[in-house]
Amino acid sequence: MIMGLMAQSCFEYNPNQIILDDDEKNLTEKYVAEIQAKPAPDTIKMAFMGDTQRFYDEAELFVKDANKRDDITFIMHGGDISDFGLVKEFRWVHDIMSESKVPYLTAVGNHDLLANGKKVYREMYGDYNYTFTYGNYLFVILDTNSREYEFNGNIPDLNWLSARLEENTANRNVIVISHVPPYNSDFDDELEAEYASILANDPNVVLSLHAHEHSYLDEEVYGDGVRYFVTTTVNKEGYALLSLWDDGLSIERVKFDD
Amino acid sequence: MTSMKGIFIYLTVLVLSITSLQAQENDRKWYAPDHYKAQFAGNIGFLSVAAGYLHGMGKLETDLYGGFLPKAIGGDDIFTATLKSTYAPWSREINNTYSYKPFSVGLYLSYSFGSQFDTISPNEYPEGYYWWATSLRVGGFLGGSITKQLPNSNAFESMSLYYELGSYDLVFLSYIQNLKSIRIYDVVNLSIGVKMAL
Repeated sequence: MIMGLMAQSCFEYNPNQIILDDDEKNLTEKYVAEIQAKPAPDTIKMAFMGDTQRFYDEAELFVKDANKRDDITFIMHGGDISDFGLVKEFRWVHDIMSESKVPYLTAVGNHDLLANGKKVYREMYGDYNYTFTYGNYLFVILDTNSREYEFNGNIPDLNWLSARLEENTANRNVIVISHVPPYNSDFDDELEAEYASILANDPNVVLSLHAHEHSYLDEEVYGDGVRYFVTTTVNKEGYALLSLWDDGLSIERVKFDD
Repeated sequence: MTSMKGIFIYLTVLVLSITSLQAQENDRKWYAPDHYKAQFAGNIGFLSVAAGYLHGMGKLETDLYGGFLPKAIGGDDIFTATLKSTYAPWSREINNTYSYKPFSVGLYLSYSFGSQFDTISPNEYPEGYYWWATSLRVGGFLGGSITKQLPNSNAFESMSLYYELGSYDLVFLSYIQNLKSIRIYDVVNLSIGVKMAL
């Protein structure tokens, strides 16, 4: 107990303090670089999980399960890393996720923006909106937690999204990833139709990925040719495994044991 | 640098207020505190100071703390106000000068100031969307203290050093729901403080 207290910094000043080790900062940039350092395989395998909020035991089981496989290229966390927006929670989840053999990236969730969570996420991971390319794919990660901004009309930032899609002159396949799906009541009503049409009008967009709802959904929600997929929470011992090749993709639902 | 300046102003105001209260010590009002405390850490500030009362046959202390965490240390400037009660049922004398309380137990309610913290769920959320207040934390602790009598001091009767091992609602809940991955020392933190009794 005493040794444990000494090993952790045993003094805490406020639950909302933002005290991080150097290797707990700018994780998005670090992990994107790690992913891109290896040549893209013919088929990229992305494990898409999420909503680890207060489900640490289950998050650990997920990592153990993912580590048993040797085909996963990287992990995408769909958001709600934390439940209360506390730095302690973010660090616990990072401790667990960094045990995985492959890098993990995150989309910011509504719970991650609570209390000082906005600042914690920014310091630990980086920007809420970011993109990266790998193989023949452009991944666009977007903050869609409109309710946390009082539905101010700017979240999600659809101008930013359009600009990133326009930059895709190499015509890579595009996967847009965010926490809250557009039809959900936590997504700004006024921006839902525009989001859907931006995706539908870009022939490169192949998928809109989400978490938040704690259960799977796989549907062409707006009947416009864009596939929407929602992953489940680790608390239900599940995650999605996406296989992405040059001109196609498939999604498998994986169940891990408790 | 602004936060260091903040601490300096904070401490100056504190010292001045204590000094001015001391000047009135001879005709103490009913509401005058029985003691002052200063505490390091414990999730109620990097440094916090309190005025408090002794009651319950001298076994119960109730204190109101003002705390501050400067950005340079904690990543954000956060002021806190904390109401804390400490129950210490046993006091043992070592000699005429020293005594100790081997066991204390207590609870606190701490409020963090800041526009990013909510006490009542704002309008944009449906009822029960988030069930806790981000501004208010309830914590508990176990501890102990050692006291030295100060017969030669005009201002203070005694000085005590105390420690507390504490936890609080949100992380303790996380611990009991995740016994495999979170250990008890992940959710327990240490604080130390000094009490000056009038």
